[in-house]
Amino acid sequence: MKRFLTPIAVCVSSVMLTACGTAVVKNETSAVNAESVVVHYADMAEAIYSDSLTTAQTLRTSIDAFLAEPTEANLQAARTAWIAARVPYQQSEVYRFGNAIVDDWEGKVNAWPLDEGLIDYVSVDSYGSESDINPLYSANVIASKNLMIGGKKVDATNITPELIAESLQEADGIEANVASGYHAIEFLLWGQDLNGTNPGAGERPASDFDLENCTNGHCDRRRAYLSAATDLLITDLEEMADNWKQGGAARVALLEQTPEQGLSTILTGMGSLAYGELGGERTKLGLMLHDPEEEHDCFSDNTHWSHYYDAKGIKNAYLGEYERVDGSWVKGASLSALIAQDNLALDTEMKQKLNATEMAAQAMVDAAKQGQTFDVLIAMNNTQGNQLVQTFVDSLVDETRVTEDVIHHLDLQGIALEGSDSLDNPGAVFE
Amino acid sequence: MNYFPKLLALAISTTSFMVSAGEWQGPLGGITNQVIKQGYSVFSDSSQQLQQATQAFCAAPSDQSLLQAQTAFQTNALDWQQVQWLNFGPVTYFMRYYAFEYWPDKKGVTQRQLRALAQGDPAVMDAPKFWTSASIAVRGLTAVESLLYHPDFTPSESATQCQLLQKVTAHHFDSANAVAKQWQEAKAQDWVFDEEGSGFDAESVALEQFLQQWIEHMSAVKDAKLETPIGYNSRENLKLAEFYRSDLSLKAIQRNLQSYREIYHVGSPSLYDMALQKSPELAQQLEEQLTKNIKIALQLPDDYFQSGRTQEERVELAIPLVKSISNSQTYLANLVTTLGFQIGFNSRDGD
Repeated sequence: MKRFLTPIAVCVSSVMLTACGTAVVKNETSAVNAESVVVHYADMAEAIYSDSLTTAQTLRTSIDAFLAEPTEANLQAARTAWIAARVPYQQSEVYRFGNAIVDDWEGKVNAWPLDEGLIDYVSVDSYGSESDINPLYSANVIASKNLMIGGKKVDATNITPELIAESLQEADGIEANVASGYHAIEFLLWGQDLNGTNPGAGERPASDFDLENCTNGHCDRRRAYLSAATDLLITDLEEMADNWKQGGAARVALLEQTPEQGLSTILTGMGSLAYGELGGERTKLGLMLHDPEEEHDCFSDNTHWSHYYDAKGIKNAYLGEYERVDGSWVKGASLSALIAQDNLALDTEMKQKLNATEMAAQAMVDAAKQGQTFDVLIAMNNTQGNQLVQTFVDSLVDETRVTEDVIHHLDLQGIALEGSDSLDNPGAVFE
Repeated sequence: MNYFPKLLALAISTTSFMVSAGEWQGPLGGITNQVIKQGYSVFSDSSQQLQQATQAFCAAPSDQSLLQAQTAFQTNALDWQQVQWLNFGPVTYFMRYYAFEYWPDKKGVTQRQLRALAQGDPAVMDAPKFWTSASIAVRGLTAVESLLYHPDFTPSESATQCQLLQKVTAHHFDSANAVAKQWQEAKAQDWVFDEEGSGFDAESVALEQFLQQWIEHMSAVKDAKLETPIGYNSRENLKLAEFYRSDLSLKAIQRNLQSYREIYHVGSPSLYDMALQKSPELAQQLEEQLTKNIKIALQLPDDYFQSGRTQEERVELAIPLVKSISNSQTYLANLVTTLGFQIGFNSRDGD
């Protein structure tokens, strides 16, 4: 669902729009214009997707080492690499919604939630054995060399990136058939989290990948799947990293627009991620259902960090800054500076809201360190935990309201922010 | 009810006009008293009958008592359709609206959570505030339908499942009864709040919210209830139809469409009467289209949502109804604007 804002008649000064030309402004104290903000936003994307790619390559190296020697220590190292790879990627999510190229591509790398029984063995007690909606709910590709998908026989003898991308991903037109991307790899590295809303993540043993001491069968095919899915993730990230380089399709599509349309793209991503996606689908719905399957990184229990870095990405987009994985910073012309030029109060309010969201996300991170991961926080009767999550939702909603004020202030036309069913009347939920 | 994955609620548009006090009293009072209060009263009564029927079934399980419980469920689920269009007022508290019906449940959350409850300690469900804070997936009609119709559940053979069924229906009745009672003691204006503190006309704001909810629901009926399951624009999946297990999918749509005409005509003056004053042609166009919707929906075969016909046949049969509801959406949106309300955005469009 999209919400179409009705613009109000507050125009950005035409003098301001032409004052600074096309140069990227690297000094925050300098005057900025819409064009410089949009160009810098593209530069940040280039850095973020580049980091996403390099951390995925590091993950690949860790997985190679693990498969060469499938010990618990090497499995843990691969898991650590996966968590590290999420840091830049989650900060890239603010580029969704507004940029069609990103949105069309995103499902390949971060689709969620997934019916993991498509990929590998699952516990029938918690997962069940069939779904009303998904005939491939328990297809278990790792255990099956032949599959029937949409009435057609598919040869899955060799598990390759092509098989995953072309036949398994969203098989039978069902979104929950997530065969590729971070969460497919996450499932392979952690396995199902069978702890419900109690503490604890997935506990897949390293021996699930051990050819000589194989547990749960089909270790050769599980290894092949893990390798293929990781290779595919890298290929997909390469594509997006290239898209944001000079002359890349996403950058060109962004910059071909007017600068005002470019600002709309930025704000669409900020508002849609904050409100509909992060606040609604990924967080509030979990509270309403108290269901551990409703957490974004449900196998690894890394959701607190994923949410934190999603929120961070929104803040980055507004402030025009991004801390790279090597510790260096990308800084430049920002929406913040643009707004502050003629409405300092609005810029201050926006920054306050972004900081409040960051603090709320940090509170979830702190809770996770004490064993209260996201799935524990959303458990029924965990009043304090629920409230912690609700505070995060509320802060995202507040942030989005001010994002709307920014949109109105800039007099941007036809912006559609993603909404969320689960955010309807949030104030009444926990009365 | 969760039926539309992307439903917006961030901010409500503001009325762009000033009206004299009491101008909207006719339609607002009519809709409140004759559609909402009456609708919830009926819904509450049949919720109680459902509770009693499941009690009787669990006391003496048999094909006969199961059938009686299923019949009570069907009556109650269709009574819900009369008031489903409105997520406003008492139903918004304790997530009741979403709990009355959690749909579509694409991930099988209801079945999974029911299994967990049935396998767990039943005493947990007797804890204070358990049901008001429980998952929306297990608190209402979707859960009851699963327990009565889903092959994974056999309450006639399982005392724990039957106990669960009774607890769900008891909570469901409590909720429906609470909403009905709260409406009996209130008026629509009591449920709108001046968030900005700048003063407002509660009557017009309440009616505006009614109209907005009506528009959104009409969109949902066309998209989520009709087009999506039959694959009007994409792949068919009849299991995405509302209450498909109990075969109420078509009847639910018919009830929804019937409720629309009531909304339009109740009160003195009614919305229709006021629309006639402002824009006679548009008022009449909407009237004719709402009537046509019902006629076309009633002409669809009873087994419309059942397997046994091709997707093409089903889509062909749906075309007149889809077009008719689309026209209704246009007329209603235009009429709402003509009456001076500002409905600023599209919401339950399932996009």
